[in-house]
Amino acid sequence: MSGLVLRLAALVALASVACATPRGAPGALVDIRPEERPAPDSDEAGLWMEMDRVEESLRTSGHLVTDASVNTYVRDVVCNLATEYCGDIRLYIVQTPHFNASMAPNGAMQVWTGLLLRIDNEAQLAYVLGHELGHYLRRHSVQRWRDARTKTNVAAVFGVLAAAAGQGYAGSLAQLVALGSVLQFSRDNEREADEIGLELMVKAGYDPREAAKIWSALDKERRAGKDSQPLIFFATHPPTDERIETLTSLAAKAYTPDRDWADGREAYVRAVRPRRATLLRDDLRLRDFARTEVLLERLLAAEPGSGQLYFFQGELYRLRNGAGDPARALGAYERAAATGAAPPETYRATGLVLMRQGDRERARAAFGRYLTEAPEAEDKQMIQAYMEQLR
Amino acid sequence: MTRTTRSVLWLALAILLLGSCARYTLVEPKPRTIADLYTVDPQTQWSATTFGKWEIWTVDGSGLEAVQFLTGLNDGQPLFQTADAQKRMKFQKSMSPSDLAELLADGLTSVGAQNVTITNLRPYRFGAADGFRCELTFLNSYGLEKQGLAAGAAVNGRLYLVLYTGAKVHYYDAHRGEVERIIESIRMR
Repeated sequence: MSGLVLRLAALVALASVACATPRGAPGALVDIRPEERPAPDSDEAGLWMEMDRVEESLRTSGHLVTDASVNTYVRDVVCNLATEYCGDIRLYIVQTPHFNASMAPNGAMQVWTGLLLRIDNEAQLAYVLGHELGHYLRRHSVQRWRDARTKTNVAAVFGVLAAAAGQGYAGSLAQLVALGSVLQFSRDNEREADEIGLELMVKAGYDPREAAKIWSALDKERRAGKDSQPLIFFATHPPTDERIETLTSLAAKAYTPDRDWADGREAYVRAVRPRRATLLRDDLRLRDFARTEVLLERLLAAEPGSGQLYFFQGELYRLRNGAGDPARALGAYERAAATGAAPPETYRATGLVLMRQGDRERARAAFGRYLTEAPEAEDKQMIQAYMEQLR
Repeated sequence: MTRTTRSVLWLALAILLLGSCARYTLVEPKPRTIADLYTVDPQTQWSATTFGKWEIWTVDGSGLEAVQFLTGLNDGQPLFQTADAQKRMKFQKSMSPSDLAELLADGLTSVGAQNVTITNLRPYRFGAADGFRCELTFLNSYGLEKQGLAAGAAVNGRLYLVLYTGAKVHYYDAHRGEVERIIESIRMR
């Protein structure tokens, strides 16, 4: 896991963990108000200052997605949910294949590109963002901060902040491990954030039945994968059966057939699709093939016959190169090509598999097709050399 | 033992190993043998250390610029000494230069690089062996823009690479000419 991911994860962990104080119980904090800033001499102000430092390093990290259209899109969804709090929230879309979103107590919201890749529609995005807004509105981080101090876990909390501010690699991971023991106390807060997320999405007109779907889908991926790092959200948001049942039940209560509910699939596709090849390539770079296989199957179920998705299926099998994978890869590339909308790299990849199999003639033809489709390809000289060798 | 605990223990071990390997020696401007396979002929002084299968040379510090010589990787061995790489980023002797360039990109990602882009992949005579060259750009884990170049070849079923990376601002360009000369000076023993 990269240093950035660890630092962001540490920030996320602190930003989104919750204490065991239920809504309205003694000790619960008053909801934050629009444009509210903590009193300068308060512990909350200290927490904000630390978060401001972390946010500064995030802002200059070079990992942010700067594309205006996707930033505008996600920001509009945030503001649609947050309404009068919109001006208090600063959105950062971070390019990393891991599934995550978080909300720091000072209003810094992160959305990782692994999340944008995995959701089916805007309604699911709204639920996740609404959930994070719930933590912010309820000041869960501040509650957690105070709770931790009373439980002599101050070192762990400070450690997370230090890690988030850019301390050592090992220190960051160790803090995540330390947090694991604290996180099991956060169920009530998670439940509360889920309730708020659902309330906000319903208020904005999104179909609440979409909320539970994302958890089920991610859980399948997690079970297939070699590790849970790409789904780091689970560290702080366990996808328990209880959670899915609660969300389903809340959605059933909120859903009324007479209302015109939106899932926002079209708007989501319009905003994210232009970046999807990059997001899929980022995910494949992790080479957690069984997990990516599940992801691609799900994406294909939502978009049958996609040349791009067939191509990436082929890429998965070509890179894995296990028993039967070359044939699977060629089959996927053929399906991609048959759509008429396959990227030119489909033919290069076909050539690479065939060349490895010793099928010189077909490999040469595939490389030739690649250079026809992409005459200015970056690897043109290499492909021409292969074609010479294959004569 | 949980997966996370294993990761922490692995990391602690890696740090210990790093600490024990971080001793630098001077590379004089005269022919030097790499991996018992070939010689290079640097024209300037470098500081060298080793880590796993890699011999690493630097002038200003390896975080700023480094020439890394992969000293022969057997079939099935991982490119980098990380938990992820050991599981997934393994060299296979049947790999083409295109596969190797992808392995390099994915391996760099596994050690913290992001947005790795390989450009201008082309055939290259690596000493007496048929190999490849390419250029690359990426961000390190702190978001610093890096540039790089790589040359490599599989010789007798083992992978040899020369990977040069440096900060895009100043450091990469400062030593690129000398690195090009080093790569051109490769002679099989």
